[in-house]
Amino acid sequence: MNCADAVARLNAALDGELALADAREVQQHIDACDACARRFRTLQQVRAAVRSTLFAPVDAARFDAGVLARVRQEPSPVRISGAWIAAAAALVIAVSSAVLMLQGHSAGAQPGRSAAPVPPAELSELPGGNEGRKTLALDCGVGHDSSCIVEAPPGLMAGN
Amino acid sequence: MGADDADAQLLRAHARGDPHAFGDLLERYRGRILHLVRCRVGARSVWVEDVAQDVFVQVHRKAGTFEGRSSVKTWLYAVAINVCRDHQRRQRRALQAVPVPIDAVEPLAELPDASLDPLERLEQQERDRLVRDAFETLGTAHRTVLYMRDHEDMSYEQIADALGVPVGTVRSRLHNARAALADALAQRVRGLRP
Repeated sequence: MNCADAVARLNAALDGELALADAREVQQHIDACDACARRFRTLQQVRAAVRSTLFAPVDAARFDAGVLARVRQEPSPVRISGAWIAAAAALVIAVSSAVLMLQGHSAGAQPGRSAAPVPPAELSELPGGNEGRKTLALDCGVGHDSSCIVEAPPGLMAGN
Repeated sequence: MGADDADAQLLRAHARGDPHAFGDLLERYRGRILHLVRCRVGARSVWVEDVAQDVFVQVHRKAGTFEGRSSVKTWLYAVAINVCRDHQRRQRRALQAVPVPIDAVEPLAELPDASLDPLERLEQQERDRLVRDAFETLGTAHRTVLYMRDHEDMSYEQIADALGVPVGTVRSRLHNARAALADALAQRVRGLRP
């Protein structure tokens, strides 16, 4: 091992981050090379200096009071696991499907009402009831009365 | 029970609504998070305490998302690093300064050929001041790896996880950080001689 190889490994050797064989090679080089032994000693001194230095303390009571005051304004953390999210999503899909099927069934059963489907791409704007909000009627392909109504945020629709 | 297990229990207890767990976490990590934030934003920054408080608010918000893939310490530090990055981004926008790329590959710095023995003979208070002054001359990335490695005894892999960088980057950054600190300390030690 030459000095360049050793220098590149001195920090890892100091930190115990080298494989045993590499660490042994570095140690052998340090034992034989005064310059690298000096470099290694400097690194040890730097590490010792950082380790033993006391950084400026903080007023713990004031700091904690600040954190806790801010945390109290937050909602409680709720642990939501992936399994719960999947179960909730499955439930929403199942309920939505059941509602759509029932609506489609009742629309088809009403006499005198046209069950002709609206073209799938049709997208019509309905009179908005809420200030600043508009609604979109999207044909779900089930029947004329079964459009899915979704709210669009202000600014999303043309002319809003 | 190890410190990691105890920390994980505290975090999970907080996520379940235990009213005391958060205070215990705060007690255990207050000092460390403050040091890490100082390393990131600079010890003289007036924002240190605000940013450290932001970190704990984020920990509160994200407690339920901890899955135990890393230690709580590594997870907390990753949260802290992200909060500090957000803060620095806001500061840069406010100052309209050009960001300095910290992930650029640096060539390994030469270690200064100087003895730091006089450091060991100084009184603790004077040595602390001298080391803190020298530490402050380093860049954010260098202060952070030095703090995580030498103060917190984190492995290169844990540091890489917390910072979101490859282990090789941690290795070269640590080499350059120690070389730069050795240089800054050597200058100050020379200044002490009569």
